[in-house]
Amino acid sequence: MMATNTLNNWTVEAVLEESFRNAVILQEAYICEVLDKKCTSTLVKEVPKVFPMLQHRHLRRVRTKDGVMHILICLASQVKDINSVFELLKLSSINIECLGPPELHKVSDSPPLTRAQFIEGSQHWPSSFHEDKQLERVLKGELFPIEDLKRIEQHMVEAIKMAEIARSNGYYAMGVVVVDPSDDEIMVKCHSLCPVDASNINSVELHPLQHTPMIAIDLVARGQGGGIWKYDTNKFYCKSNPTKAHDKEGPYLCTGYDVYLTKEPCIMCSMGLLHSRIGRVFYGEASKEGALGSRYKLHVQQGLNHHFKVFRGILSNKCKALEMS
Amino acid sequence: MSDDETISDEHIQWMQKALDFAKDALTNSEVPVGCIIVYDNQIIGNGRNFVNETKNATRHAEFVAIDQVLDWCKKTDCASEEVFKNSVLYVTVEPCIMCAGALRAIQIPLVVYGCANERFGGCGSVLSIHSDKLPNQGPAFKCISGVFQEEAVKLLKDFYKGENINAPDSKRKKKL
Ligand SMILES: [Zn+2]
Ligand SMILES: [Zn+2]
Repeated sequence: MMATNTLNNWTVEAVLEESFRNAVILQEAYICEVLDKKCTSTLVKEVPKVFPMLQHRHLRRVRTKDGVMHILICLASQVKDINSVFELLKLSSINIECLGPPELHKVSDSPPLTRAQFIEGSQHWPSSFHEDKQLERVLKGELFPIEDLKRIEQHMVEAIKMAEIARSNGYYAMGVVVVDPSDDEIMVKCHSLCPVDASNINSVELHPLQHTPMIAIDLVARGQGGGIWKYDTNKFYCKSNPTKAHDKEGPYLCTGYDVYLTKEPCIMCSMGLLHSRIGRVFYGEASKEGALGSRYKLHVQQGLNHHFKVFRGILSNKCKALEMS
Repeated sequence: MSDDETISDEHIQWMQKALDFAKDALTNSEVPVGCIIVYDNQIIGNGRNFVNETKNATRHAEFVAIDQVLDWCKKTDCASEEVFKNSVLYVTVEPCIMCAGALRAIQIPLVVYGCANERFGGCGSVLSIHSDKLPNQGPAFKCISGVFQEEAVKLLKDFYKGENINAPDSKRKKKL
């Protein structure tokens, strides 16, 4: 069955690296018409020796269009001016008689990551492209088979229920559910413990770091005989001693787990999920300073040793409505 | 990363204490990071990594120390926001991205640390959570870096000895 991204009234979106959606950036380069096609093989061998383009290996050297052949000589940034192009070529064994005069031409600055970027860039100058089939499907919105979307919706319904319980108890309406996707079993369910109106609450009872995702991480640890924070656990659900978790390494107890959040997590909680090696994150509503798509994209941050997949928009209207009512 | 403030004797004296907690972590097979929180010229919270012992990958030294301060506030009946706003946090390694977010949430004004955290650093190494514009997360905080840098690095090297620091965690041998 075809994968899709919509169910009922909501659409799931994969939160991807910015670079996949970026428009193609263009650079100026010098190209020459190849007047004598017999020279082509020599030119293709010799020109790169004079003008290597190590950062632009994606660009093809030769283009034939409407029967006219051009060769890419160099980037404009590699020479002082147009006159230096032939001056430098003359120093090699290249016979410049077989070349037409250098002309400025636009080429793409970086290798195409997607088919769309490949097509856009090729309108200027051809380049090589290795298609990532899975990425292309994601970009087209072919994300999940319908059965998976129904399961995703079901888990978000549970997270919304937790958020509603929080709201009816005077806490912020935020709910989190942790699921083991290998058998679709719920590991943890919890909600915010942060009161909406803190004015009549003794501040010593407030914990500034007990954001809902951090509580969820601690509850996963608690289910394994660990954990640290004390709260009324009757409020929450926590699966004790899941047998499958025993072969997990060290503290990385969220390895392979999915987490469902009604709202996009902050930077602290997002990094907490990363430290715990979360498998995938699903959230409903984006938040302005959220770290999984809005303010940062921590899950694809360069320099970090663990990346994970993030999907948003699940039951987004219901998640949005949580805060308003 | 650090501001132009010179490293005072006071900072050196407190960082020495933080290093003791880092050494304690090393003896307990935890990543050797130590942290203390100083308020009114006394240590009101201290901590080291407790990641393995609690099976909670977020039990970094900073979180442990913050929890201690919250307990201290409860005992002494002080308002924790006021205490944090007037405290200095000393930690042997640059706070990670998560801890930097936490330090904004508690509104700490100043963090003094030893060496950079190239893998997870949230105060300039990977991201700059300490200074980025994040009004909902809490105010930005100042950093002073390089206090007992060599000692902090040496402890980390001792911990990772025989391990390839660049290998993914699952491939690394655990030190027992
Ligand atoms: Zn958070
Ligand atoms: Zn940390």
